[in-house]
Formats: sequence, C-alpha cells, structure tokens
Amino acid sequence: MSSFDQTLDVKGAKCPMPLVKSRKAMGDLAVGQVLQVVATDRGSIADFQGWAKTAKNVEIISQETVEDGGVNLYVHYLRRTA
Amino acid sequence: MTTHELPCTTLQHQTEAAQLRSYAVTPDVLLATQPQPEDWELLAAQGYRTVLNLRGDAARAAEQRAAAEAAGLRYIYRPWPAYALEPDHVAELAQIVADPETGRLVFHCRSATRVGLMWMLYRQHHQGWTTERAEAELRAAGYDDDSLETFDFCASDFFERL
Repeated sequence: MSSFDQTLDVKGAKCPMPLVKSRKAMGDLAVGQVLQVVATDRGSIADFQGWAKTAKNVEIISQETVEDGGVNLYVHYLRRTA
Repeated sequence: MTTHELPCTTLQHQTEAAQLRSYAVTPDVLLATQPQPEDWELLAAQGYRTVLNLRGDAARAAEQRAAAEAAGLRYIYRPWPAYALEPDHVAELAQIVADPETGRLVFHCRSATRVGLMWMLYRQHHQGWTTERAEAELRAAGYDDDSLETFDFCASDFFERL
C-alpha cells in the first residue's frame, strides 16, 4: 500500500462519478500530495489511467485490487503534479 | 437529423430489439454499452448509420472502426474527458447529431453511463431543456435511479464550472 494524504471513498459509484469526485478532491490537495481513491467499479482501472494520460496535473503512483468481504475493491493512488 | 417524440412503449421495444444493453432516447439515437463484434452488422441491419465512440482507448477504437466500417457503418471516435466535460464537447456532439450524414446514431461508451450524461448535457446545455425533462427522457429509455443520480451529480459539476 502506498502512503497518501487524503482518501476518497467512491464505492458503488458509477463511471464517471469516481473521476469527477476525484478531480474535485485533487483540487484540495497541494502539489506533490497523494489521493487514495477506493472504488468498486472495475472499469475505474482504465478510467483512471485515461485520466492520468490526458490531464496535466495527475499521475498514477499505483493501482491495487483488494478483496474485502467477497467484493473487489479497486484502490488508486494519484499524485497531484501541478 | 430529425428526432421525434414517440410513446415510451415504442422506444422500449426498439431498445429490446438490440443485442447489447442500450437505451433508445429517440428513434434515431441509441445510447449503448460497448458493442460486441457480432453487434455491428446487427446495428447496420436495424438501420443505424453512424457509431460514435466516447471511450478513451485509441488502439481499441481503431480495431472497432475497422469492424464497424466493414459492416457499413460510419465511425466517429471522440474520447471526450469524462472527468471534466466542457461546453465545446457538448457543441461537438450537437454538430454530430445535427449532421445529415449522421443518420441514425449509436452513441456508446463502456457502460452507457457517460453517453447518458453527455445526452443529458446536450438536452440541457444545447437545447435548453429543464433537468426534469431531460431526466424523464433518460428514465423513459430505461436508465435506473443510480444512473440518474450519477447524471445529476456530474451535470451539476458541469454547470458549476461554466
């Protein structure tokens, strides 16, 4: 698990809500700080990769899949870069 | 392209006729999940003329363009950023919808949620529909409460940033 400065729970949220909520949360971070996002939408893996490719202020540190009570959680660590 | 208001039952029948999970918001516009390889010819046979892909993967889009065009469909790839949609993206969608070359349109992403949001923004921002009217259209096409909640949240974010 990577270290992080803020966490965002978007379990149950459908695309594109995890992205929109993450973009808003990222705005509250200082440059260099890390946001942990916990999602249940499997598509969030590709969605966050796409965000990091096209946005100018986000990079992915890591993405992990964690099983929690029979449910897969997709955990993303994102750094604000600008 | 002309769109028509039809009774919900007619639109629902049209939605069920497709082999993929889809939502016919008008007789000429089908919002859909990712079509599978066997769907392109079926969509063409049902009279759809243009496919508009909102997904981000350019390599996959190139493969799907070849398959869709082989089935006789026009293919448009627009990976608009779902995390920060802007009025220019809605205007571009409006141009595609209005283009006589478009004909009947299949507008898809992965789960049909982003395209539902884009359609709601098109109705509200481009055509001046109220939130209630735009939501009613999407609900009549088959979108559930979870989807409508997502559309509400993301549309509010869009309008807050104008």
